[in-house]
Amino acid sequence: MKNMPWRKIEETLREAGSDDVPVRDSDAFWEAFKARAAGETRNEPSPAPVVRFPAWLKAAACFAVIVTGAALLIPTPSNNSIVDAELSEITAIEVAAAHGEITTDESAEGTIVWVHGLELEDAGPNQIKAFDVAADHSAVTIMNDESTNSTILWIHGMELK
Amino acid sequence: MSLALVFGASLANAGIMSVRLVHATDAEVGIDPGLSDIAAILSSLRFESFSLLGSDTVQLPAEDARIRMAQGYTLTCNGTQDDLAIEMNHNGRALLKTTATLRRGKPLILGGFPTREGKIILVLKVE
Repeated sequence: MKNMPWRKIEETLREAGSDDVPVRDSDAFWEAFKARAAGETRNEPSPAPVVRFPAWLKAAACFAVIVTGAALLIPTPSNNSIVDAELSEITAIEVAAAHGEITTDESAEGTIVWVHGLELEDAGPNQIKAFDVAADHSAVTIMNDESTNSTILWIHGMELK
Repeated sequence: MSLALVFGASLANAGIMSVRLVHATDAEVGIDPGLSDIAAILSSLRFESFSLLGSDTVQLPAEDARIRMAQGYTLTCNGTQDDLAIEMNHNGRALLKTTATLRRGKPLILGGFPTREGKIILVLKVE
């Protein structure tokens, strides 16, 4: 095979043709080959066309993703926030003004501290509005002592028979 | 609103009044420990000794609250802290009738009721 006169055979075939082998012209062969390589004349079915999303649809999708993410990150206030919170605790109370009893009520709804009888201003001394000494006596002294915040009603010379 | 005002006013007139009967003499020197909160007041009186004969409390406002105390004394209270009628009796006999406005924490001293050794003092104090 190696020593066969291929060039001569080719020229002979080109000139005379062959009835046994359907040989095409080499130029026509290469032209057809190039055409197939370029895909212009391929008989294969072409792939489905690529679907391209419009720009506005991409923007809308991005916006929807951002909004959804933000909604998941922002904490939602609970209607039961008061119940869930720990109770307020009174650890110390100091009332500078004169007052009575201090009551505290701690519940789930809140803490109430009530100062009874709170006196923001000095109400002044006791007041003797009227008096009547039924027994014998010589005098009556009424004295308001500011230093001791007291009132003294003293009956002098009373005698009990 | 008016209900709250009425409630507040009633609280202002509510309280407990302590009543103490004290015997003041010159026989001994000293002040009963139960009178320590009014020692300064008693020291201003010209007696050497103050002994606590008895004590009680009255809920204010009072409605004919009667307290029987030592040595035949009886105390009757009527009214509120702002307008309190006080009657002091001895063996069923009225000695003193008075009407007073009492301030919280400020004692009212009614004194001069005689005994053989000294005087009887009544101490009223709204707590």
